[in-house]
Amino acid sequence: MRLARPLENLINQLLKLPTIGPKTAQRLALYILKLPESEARQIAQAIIDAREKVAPCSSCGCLTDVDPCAICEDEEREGHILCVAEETSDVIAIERTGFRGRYYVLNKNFHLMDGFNLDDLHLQPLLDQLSSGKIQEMVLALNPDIDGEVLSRYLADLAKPHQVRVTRLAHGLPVGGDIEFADEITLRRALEGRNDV
Amino acid sequence: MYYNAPVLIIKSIDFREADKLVTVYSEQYGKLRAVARGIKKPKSSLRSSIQPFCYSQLHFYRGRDLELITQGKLLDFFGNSREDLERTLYSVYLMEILDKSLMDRLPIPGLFRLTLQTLRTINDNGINPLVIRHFELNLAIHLGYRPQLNQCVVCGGNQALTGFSLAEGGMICRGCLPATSTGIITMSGECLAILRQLEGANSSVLARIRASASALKQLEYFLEQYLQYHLERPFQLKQTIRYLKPSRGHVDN
Ligand SMILES: [Zn+2]
Ligand SMILES: [Zn+2]
Repeated sequence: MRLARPLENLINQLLKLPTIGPKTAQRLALYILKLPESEARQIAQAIIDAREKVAPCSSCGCLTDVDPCAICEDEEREGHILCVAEETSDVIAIERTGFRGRYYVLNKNFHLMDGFNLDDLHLQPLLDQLSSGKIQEMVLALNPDIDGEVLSRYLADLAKPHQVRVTRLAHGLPVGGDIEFADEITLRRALEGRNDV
Repeated sequence: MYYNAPVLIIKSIDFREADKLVTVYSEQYGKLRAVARGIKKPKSSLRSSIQPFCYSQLHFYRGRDLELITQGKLLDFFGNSREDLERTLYSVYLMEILDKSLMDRLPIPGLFRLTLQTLRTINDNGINPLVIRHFELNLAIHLGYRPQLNQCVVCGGNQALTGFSLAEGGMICRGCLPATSTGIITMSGECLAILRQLEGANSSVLARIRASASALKQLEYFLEQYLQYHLERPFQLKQTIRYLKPSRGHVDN
């Protein structure tokens, strides 16, 4: 049996989403059809609204519906500490720790094997901030993998002439973890980053 | 079916929500792709053994489409290389060439040992450009593209060999040069002599080879053209290495 065109179309659209395979797409599409019409409309409208109203903050890159974003507008923030992150989802995670500095979000996944293009990374606003003299410390909060490390070193080099202290998140053991089961890379980094007690 | 093997990790990319699709290279099985499940969860013990250019003992389960990685243990993570930007980039460069040149499930044991040896040399001694050139040339040879370095590919003579023809796969003598117009790379006597030494050189021979700056430059250019000609693609890491190096310490903006 051939599916109704609009249903087939919906399934194909859902298939574009990450982690959604054909079976899941079909299940979601059929579920949406069973919803009350108002709820289905809410979902569709939410997608349109988010697309129209949310964009990267022109100053820090966080996804926001007001530009500059609430963090950039917050006068209470410590303006001399700038935390560089890859995605807004990383900012959300760091915000939960009570960090009170400012952010710079790259909004771009950097993969060494895909090539390195500085223009793609949109670093000019970051360079402007570093040269403004207001920033004393840049905290690099990139993923602790090869891509994140290479990018961290590159950004650290860029910051050097601006007399900005550059730090990165410590690499170490997860809380609740077990030293016996830690791998050598993590353990070596944890030893290098050891603290006085 | 379960099996395990020591492998080099070529790359790991995000796959489904919390998984990674890992490309590995094994002496016995060749290049394989396998799924590592739940890798982003903090408890995952597999995570470090699937980082690029790690040498790891991995346990596989042969699935219907893709292998599944069930367990892993690091054998060598090349710690010195991982702490140093230049060594990291060159180690990833080796992985990129393997990724782009190997066919799935086609073992080439000599190439595997060459790669492992080169990663160890980079880790232990830092970057010697001749070690990288040695890898590139011998990789081409393992893949079946051995350049003819000892005689002219047109007339068979062995005197005044001055250019390399990409299309003919070998040196051309001065006499035959006018007749062969396209795709010729000029090569100095020094560069040619080094290439001949690099062919099959072991690490102790490698350490003794001396080369002038201009020969090193010519050698790099030649091998880059040669690999691109046969593998039919450019290598991103070469560009990245060029790009990152001059920007070290450079800052006006
Ligand atoms: Zn902002
Ligand atoms: Zn000839």
